[in-house]
Amino acid sequence: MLGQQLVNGITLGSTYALIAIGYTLVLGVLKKLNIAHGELFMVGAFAGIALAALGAPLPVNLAAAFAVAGLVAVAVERVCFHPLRHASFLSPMLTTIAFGILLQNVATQMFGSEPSRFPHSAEPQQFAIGSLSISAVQIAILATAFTLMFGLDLLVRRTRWGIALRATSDDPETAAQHGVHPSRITITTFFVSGALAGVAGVLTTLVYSQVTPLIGIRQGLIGMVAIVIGGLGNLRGAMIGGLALGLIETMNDAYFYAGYRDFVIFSVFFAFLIFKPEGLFPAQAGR
Amino acid sequence: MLRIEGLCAGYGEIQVLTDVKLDVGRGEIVAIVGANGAGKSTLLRTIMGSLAARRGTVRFEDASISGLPAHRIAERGIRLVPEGRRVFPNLSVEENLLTGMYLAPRAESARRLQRVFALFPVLAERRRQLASTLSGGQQQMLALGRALVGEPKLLMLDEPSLGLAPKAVEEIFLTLAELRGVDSGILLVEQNARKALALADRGYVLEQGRVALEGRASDLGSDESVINAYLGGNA
Repeated sequence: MLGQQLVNGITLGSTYALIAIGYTLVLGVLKKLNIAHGELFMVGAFAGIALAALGAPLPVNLAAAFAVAGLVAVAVERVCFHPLRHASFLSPMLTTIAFGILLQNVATQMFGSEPSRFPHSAEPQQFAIGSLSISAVQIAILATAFTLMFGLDLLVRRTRWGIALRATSDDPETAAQHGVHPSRITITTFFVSGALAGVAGVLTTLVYSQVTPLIGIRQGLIGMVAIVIGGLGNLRGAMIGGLALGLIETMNDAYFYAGYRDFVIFSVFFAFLIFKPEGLFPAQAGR
Repeated sequence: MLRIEGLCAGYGEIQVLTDVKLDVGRGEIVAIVGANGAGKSTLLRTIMGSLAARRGTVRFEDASISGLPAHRIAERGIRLVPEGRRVFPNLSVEENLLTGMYLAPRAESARRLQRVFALFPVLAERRRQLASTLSGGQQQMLALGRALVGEPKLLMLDEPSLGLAPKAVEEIFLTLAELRGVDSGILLVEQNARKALALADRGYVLEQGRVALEGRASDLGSDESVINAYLGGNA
């Protein structure tokens, strides 16, 4: 039973981690928060559903969510952040709240406010490993989420883009003086941040099988809780924070009471803010 | 190769530089000396494009670079070793140097890295360490190395000796003397005016954002008023 809950929790947590990564990336480069980030999750979920409705297979749905949510994230940067790049950190918080509401309204116009569903052809296949039962959907989620996480970790650590991204996080002026194009770093960072949230949207919808235009609000908040648990500004911290939240939520539902789910999650959030505001992995130590 | 005319710049309400005229020729080392707050750092940041000029022209290799952003000016072959070193603290020594090669062809990386490691062997020993763990002198070497791997045509240094032990200062100035090249120029801002003028070919004295004096470094170094104001007198 516990093993089963661990599998379920890590599956859920891996989607939370994909959301949390986006906050951390943007926070790292701009020191600013993208409040519309949860809506990128929602945009990705609807992009996936729209293509699934046309009969496209899962990999195509995921690719579409990746691309569409990534491009919408770039639009968020150009509209909400770039014109205000010399303003205080508060201004883009307001513009991204507005952009998020706009995206919710566009989605409502296009898909309606009733839950939309993935067209399921058949009951997903179940595999048994000892006493554990794991579905084909769970395997797809785990494989996709962990591939993206390891891939991004490798990109950020090893490639020229990743090093320039981290240099810009440390000191944007000095990075530019050595030839790093600031807008190029910002735009690619937003694209990756949105793309991962969009993929998380499709993966989550596979499990819960339905999505509404307002789903991004909760998912966005969950992502913020995850980065606070993991430690602000730390990519691996965001991943672990997301996984931890998935486990907490699943354990709560299994052993406590599902109705208290968000109460428990946000209690953990406040506990961290008050008693361990630097998170599990403070940025300096764990990069 | 660098020609500045009528340059005015500042922050907000405050005008720091007024009508600055300055040249750096090919293969030349030019020193800028002056009191704290004379506008030396502001001048370098304005040339680099990190601060917008209010008036005046900056030309580099016969093309205007006025108004270009810093990353475009870096593309033209200018590098700044900033005041306070400003190494990337959360990047390793090697990653700091790789950032300096952001614009360089990949095939060049190994050769340029080796060149800096030959110049500063201590950086090779600590290549995997975070830059924040280096001593002040080592950070200055790293900041200089990070600029050099860009193989700049014009290298600008802002107070490279500030806060360093005498031995480290000696090492940095020895390196600068070795860097005296045929094609490239060096523009050096220094509070240690004596050392700077001893190294340089020509010098400028900046006073309250204006060029007060200019001339051959050896002449400035023996000028009564410069000695009294910037070299601690009795020299």
